[in-house]
Amino acid sequence: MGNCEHWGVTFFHTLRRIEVLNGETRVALTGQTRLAVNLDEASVIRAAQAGDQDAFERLVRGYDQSVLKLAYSLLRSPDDAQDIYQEAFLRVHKNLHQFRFDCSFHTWLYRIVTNLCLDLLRKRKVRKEESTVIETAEGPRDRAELTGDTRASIDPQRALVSGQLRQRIDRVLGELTARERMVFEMRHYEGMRLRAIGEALGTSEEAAKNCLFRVTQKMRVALGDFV
Amino acid sequence: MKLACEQVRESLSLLLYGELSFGEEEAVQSHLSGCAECRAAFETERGWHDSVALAKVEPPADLLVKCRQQLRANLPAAAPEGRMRRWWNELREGIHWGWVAKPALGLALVAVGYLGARLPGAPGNETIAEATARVRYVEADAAGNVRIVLDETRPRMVAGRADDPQVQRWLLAAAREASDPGLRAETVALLQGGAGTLDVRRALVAALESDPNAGVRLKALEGLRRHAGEKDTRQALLRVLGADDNPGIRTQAIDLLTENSPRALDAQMVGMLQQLMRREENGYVRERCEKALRLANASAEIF
Repeated sequence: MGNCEHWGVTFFHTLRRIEVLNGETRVALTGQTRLAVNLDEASVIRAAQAGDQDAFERLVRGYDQSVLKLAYSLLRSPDDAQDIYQEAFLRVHKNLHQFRFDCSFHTWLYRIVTNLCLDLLRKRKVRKEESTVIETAEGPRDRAELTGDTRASIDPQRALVSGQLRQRIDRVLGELTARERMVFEMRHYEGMRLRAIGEALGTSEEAAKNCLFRVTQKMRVALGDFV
Repeated sequence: MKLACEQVRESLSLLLYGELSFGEEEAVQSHLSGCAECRAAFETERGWHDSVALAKVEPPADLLVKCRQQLRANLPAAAPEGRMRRWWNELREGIHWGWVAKPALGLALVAVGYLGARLPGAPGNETIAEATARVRYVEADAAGNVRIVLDETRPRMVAGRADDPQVQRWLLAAAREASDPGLRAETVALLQGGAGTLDVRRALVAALESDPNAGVRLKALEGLRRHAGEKDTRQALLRVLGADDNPGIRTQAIDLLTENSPRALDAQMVGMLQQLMRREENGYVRERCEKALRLANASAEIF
């Protein structure tokens, strides 16, 4: 098969996963011919549906950072965000065989995640218990204390204002309904389009737009004189 | 479409989100160009958008790694389908049998075998699984010859102790190149034990100074703890102290730089801490900085 020499094929290996088992490190690599060509997502989903754990893990890793960010941003609690992460991906694992490609995997996953978050937001009344304390490397710290850490020259007035602004933002976010909070997070922080938000929440683009509109009115009233 | 000021102001957020239709956006922009009051309102709207964007919170640095480990432990063991069968299914799905002649499949299979043979030989601690392949394109000439280009993915497992040179080679590559921050954090944590070798220490310093993820930088910092007294590591820690935007990392850098000889800081170290006192906004970091200077009998001010 001398012709193959003209294919210009090169192997690339990328490191995919590391495990430590009984003192032994296992490095899983993926070797690819040609330049960084991955299997498309549908193939990965089909492989995961057929029971391929590696494919499932690849699928998880394609989305888990954004799922965790959304859950943490909404719930402001590492434990709750971790619970949502676990529950969401365990549900995906359990029900993946039912996924029929009639919507994107992203939409399907976000439906699961947003439902879990909405349930928790409602059940635990997070918006009333919202704390300004967050976990840092040095332990729990007040968010206002860490605000405006831009390393510019010290400006106590600016630090005070940004701390107050932060508190006011937190208060407005805390006063939103669970649904408003969800729409706002997905649009303002995740950058999702209203159509995708509507799909994830099982509603129309128009309903998501109206919800966002209400939030922006509240924000304008609460923050307009501060900026 | 002519809009009243009230209508325009209600649309400003949607304009900033890029959620207006083409016609709506044109009408709003046209109004803004001729109305100073609405332009001012637009700037206010942009102001609160930016402020709220800055108030975004990020999950703690190591949470993603924890979540992944927990998920891996919680997933029920699935009955894996035979890899060979799966590969065959994927290949079969990828090929449109209607227009690819059987000899083409023969060529493809031989090609896959040929490519597989080009892989480095697999020693005892390395497993190369069957490849999955998809057809990228097919071309045929008038004589009935067919060329098929395949994209092939071949999983490969390398196993051994973390200090095994072959394993370490991949760990060093992953610490530098992996796009997944969770994977980089795991890799850097595994490299911590090998910080005695120059290559590993360089990789940890590089991760500490340039990794975009704070969790990975923290793991690198932990790995360098035992080597904080060495010149290269100290220089790196000083650079981190002056440049890292994460207060937790700046705090730990101070600790590492001062814990070996808190009373005998050199002039460069004292100078760096004094400069930090001038510009540091985080109260906790300032506190630690001041304490380190006090222990070294140095002033917290620059005269």
